[in-house]
Amino acid sequence: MEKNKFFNRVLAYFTKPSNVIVVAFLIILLACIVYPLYSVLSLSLTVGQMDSLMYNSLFGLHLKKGSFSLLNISMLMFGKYSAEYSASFFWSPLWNSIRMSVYASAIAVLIGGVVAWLITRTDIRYKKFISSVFVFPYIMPSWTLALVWKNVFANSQVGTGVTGMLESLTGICVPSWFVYGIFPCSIVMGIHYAPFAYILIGGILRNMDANLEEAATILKADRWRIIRKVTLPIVMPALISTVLLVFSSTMASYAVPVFVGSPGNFYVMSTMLRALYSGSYSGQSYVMTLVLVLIGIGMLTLNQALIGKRKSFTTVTGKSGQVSYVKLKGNKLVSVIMVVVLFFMAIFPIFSFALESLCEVQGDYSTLTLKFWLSKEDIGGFQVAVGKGILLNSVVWKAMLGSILLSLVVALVVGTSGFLIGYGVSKKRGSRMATLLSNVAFFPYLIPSMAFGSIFLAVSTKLLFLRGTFLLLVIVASVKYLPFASRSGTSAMMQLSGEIEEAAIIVGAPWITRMTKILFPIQKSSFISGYLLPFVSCIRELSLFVLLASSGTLITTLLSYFDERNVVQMSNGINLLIIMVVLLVNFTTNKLTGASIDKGIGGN
Amino acid sequence: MKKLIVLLLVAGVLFSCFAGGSKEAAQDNAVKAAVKAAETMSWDELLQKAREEIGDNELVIYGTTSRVNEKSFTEATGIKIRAEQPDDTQIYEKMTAEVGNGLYGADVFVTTDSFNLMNLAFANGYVENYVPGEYKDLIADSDENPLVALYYARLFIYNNGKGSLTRAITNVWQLTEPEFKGIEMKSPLLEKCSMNFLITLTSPEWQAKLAQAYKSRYGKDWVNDGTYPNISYEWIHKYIQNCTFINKDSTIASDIAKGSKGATGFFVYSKFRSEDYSGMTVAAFDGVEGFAGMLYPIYSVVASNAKYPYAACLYINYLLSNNGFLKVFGKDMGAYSTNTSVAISDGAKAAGDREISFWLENCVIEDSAYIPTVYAQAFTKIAQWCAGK
Repeated sequence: MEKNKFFNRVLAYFTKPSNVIVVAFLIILLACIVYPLYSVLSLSLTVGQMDSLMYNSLFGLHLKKGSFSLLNISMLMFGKYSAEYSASFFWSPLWNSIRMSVYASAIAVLIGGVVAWLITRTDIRYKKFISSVFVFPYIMPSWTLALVWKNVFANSQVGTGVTGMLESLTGICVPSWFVYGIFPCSIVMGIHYAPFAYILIGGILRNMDANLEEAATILKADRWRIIRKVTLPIVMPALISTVLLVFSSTMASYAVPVFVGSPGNFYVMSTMLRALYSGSYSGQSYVMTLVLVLIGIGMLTLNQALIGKRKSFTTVTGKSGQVSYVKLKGNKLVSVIMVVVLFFMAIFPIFSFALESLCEVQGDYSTLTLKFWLSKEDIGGFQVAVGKGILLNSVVWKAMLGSILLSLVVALVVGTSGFLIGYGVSKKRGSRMATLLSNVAFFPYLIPSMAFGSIFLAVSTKLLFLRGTFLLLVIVASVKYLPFASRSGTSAMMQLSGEIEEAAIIVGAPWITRMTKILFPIQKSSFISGYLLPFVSCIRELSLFVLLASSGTLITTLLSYFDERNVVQMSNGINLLIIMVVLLVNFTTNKLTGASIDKGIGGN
Repeated sequence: MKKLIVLLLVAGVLFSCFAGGSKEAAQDNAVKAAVKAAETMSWDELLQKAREEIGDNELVIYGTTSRVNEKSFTEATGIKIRAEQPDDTQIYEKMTAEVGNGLYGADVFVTTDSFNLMNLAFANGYVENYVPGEYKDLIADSDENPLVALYYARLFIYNNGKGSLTRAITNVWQLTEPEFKGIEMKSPLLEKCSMNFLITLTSPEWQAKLAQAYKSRYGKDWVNDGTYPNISYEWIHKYIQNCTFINKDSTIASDIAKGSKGATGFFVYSKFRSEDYSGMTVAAFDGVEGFAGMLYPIYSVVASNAKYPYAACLYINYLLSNNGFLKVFGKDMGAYSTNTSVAISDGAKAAGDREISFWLENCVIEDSAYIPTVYAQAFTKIAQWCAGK
């Protein structure tokens, strides 16, 4: 009897789709995430083969490969070798990383949030242009922005004295800290992730019930007060999600700090992590990874505490009315300023890639040629084989198609999972399972790509059917990018009032119909971004795949191949090609679904 | 929360069971035997054997240098290749994951970093050394075990202000002086051959040379006041203080070429020609007391679980041949075969490059025998200086 009761209860539990979703995803995610976490933990508490050589020699020990030891931790963090060592490799990079991430998050939220507000809530001009161009910096690999920064601001007073664009046009020499160090790192990362803030915050603002603001207006609240008391609290979940994502991404970013940070002696955790990893102290690099994960957990907890306080973030009730635009004072001026700023942030880098890919002699704009795009002959004059022009080069196209296919599959898996997780979490809101799922889905984001790839390389040597396969790449990328979609899915679902689905249940609509005909369409733009963001991240990802995919299978490995070999015309051209593909996918999605990466927040 | 911890623990234990117990390195005797047999074969014999063995399949090469992708080997032998270019850290990581677990990944490794090659790759039996019999007498003994296929040069090069600046660097101690603040180089933290160069400098041989250069620069003997273990560490520390770390050699080359007069960099010589090099001077040609750069070895070894060991040996044999060197590495300046009968290309000569004998005299050569004896101490100290800049 008891048994039956229990069985019935379980059965009843699983008749609710949200329960099935939460449980199923918990199981899948734990399987995909527990091992990496376990690896990081165990590798940071044991000594590797090279670690043991180093420690035995430094401290006169007889450690064997794989033996348990706290030396990784004590040497890295607590001055076992010297206080200076711990300060240089750990404490100072930690402090730098935190500062950089805080600044970058603030910059991203500020720029992205303001633009989102301008587009959705005001009558600013050129909305379509601003909206679609604003996402460009996110499509470009972050290091290319850093390169542009250097090319613009380098001057005769800094470093070797290469004259940058600003100096040659105006004669202005910015100081060294402006070119190298924390300042450019934070700005570049902030600009790179500003579209993130724009997409997440803009999506919410766009769908927000304007009645709330109107009510405040009727009550004679001034504009600033309305933003502070009505708009901001409503976008809070998106804001916090943005900060969480930008902060974590910046903490783990490597390319930008090494590009414009290191020359200014500015080192962060990811640069030191890689230094330790390649320098025979791999155990210490895993300790660092662990610290990154712990910081992420701290951020998650903070997020939980902030959102947890408020019981409801419902903004979409199905009763929304007209949005009335705020009349912008000095509209024309603001619009023009926006367009000019965007030109430098988004158009100019692309323009420079295009131009560089057209130079016969690198950097000499009087030698323009189309051969790097169209040459039917193999291009000579370089130390390595280049092959035909980009558009006719079968290697380029094969890699491009490989990347597109991978990114599409990953986007489908991740986007759908994100939508379902969002549904499950919002339905089971407050339950321990939901909180756990929402947190677990975020974990992969906290492990730097390089470590993640390295752990899955180890997994693939145990699970041989995965080794070197496309499936492995799909799994790794899907797990890694799930946080995007689960965050945007969750914040979108949280906004949906339960009444909407309840109404559908009352008229007898089955679950699948409720999902596809009601919930998805209402928050379509948010969910579509859950598909598009992983697509963009995946197609320009390199460090995650570098150990898992053979070179030539993905476009980014080819890009870095040409970049490393200084065939900049090809690398710039391929970079441009990637951006074009993303724009094309975005355009097609837009035509097919009406949504797009910037969700046509105001443009369409 | 308790449930979560229990769940994680159980999962952890499960994983550790199936993840643990890593297999010992696969020692493939067939590969060993093939490599040994290949040592006495002529090119034609080896070619025939390799062709029989590999048929229409691909020979897989992991190489730190993109040159391994050169198709001329296929033209010369009809054997197809697939080359991958992970960096040296990734090569050793893939090697450990693959050969260490008895899984086939590559046949040939073309890589740098003597320390990992000796202490990881050879120590675990992941690789086999092969020296082509026909070149054995032409290769120096010190380059045979492990086999160095060639050397790359990384040199001090400065902007000469369109010819207005000559003999800017005459003594290596100048590079530690305030005038040379901002020398651009790749970070030794991220690039092993730069680190190995600095570690090699701490050897007694280089201490003596640095002491001599010190005396002629400052007119007095170097005295150990206890700040540094020896004179080399003082040079290294002050030099690092003067350096700016840039992530790519090509960026450094471009920064120096386009920079202001006197701007100095330490970068691979092969990047010299990708810039307008009339405005740059290679310090070595002015004559620098002490040293003018470094030579770092590119090793080439056979995977101990290679699928096609004869083809692998053939590939290495090809790299050491005159034709192979010139086609794969020697088109431009900065690369030098260890086969003493192979000269640099006419193109390199025309651009001002010199034979390896000149560079052996003027450069620090990565010392694979000395480095392991001091590695942990020297690496950690130097790394700390680099990180604490």
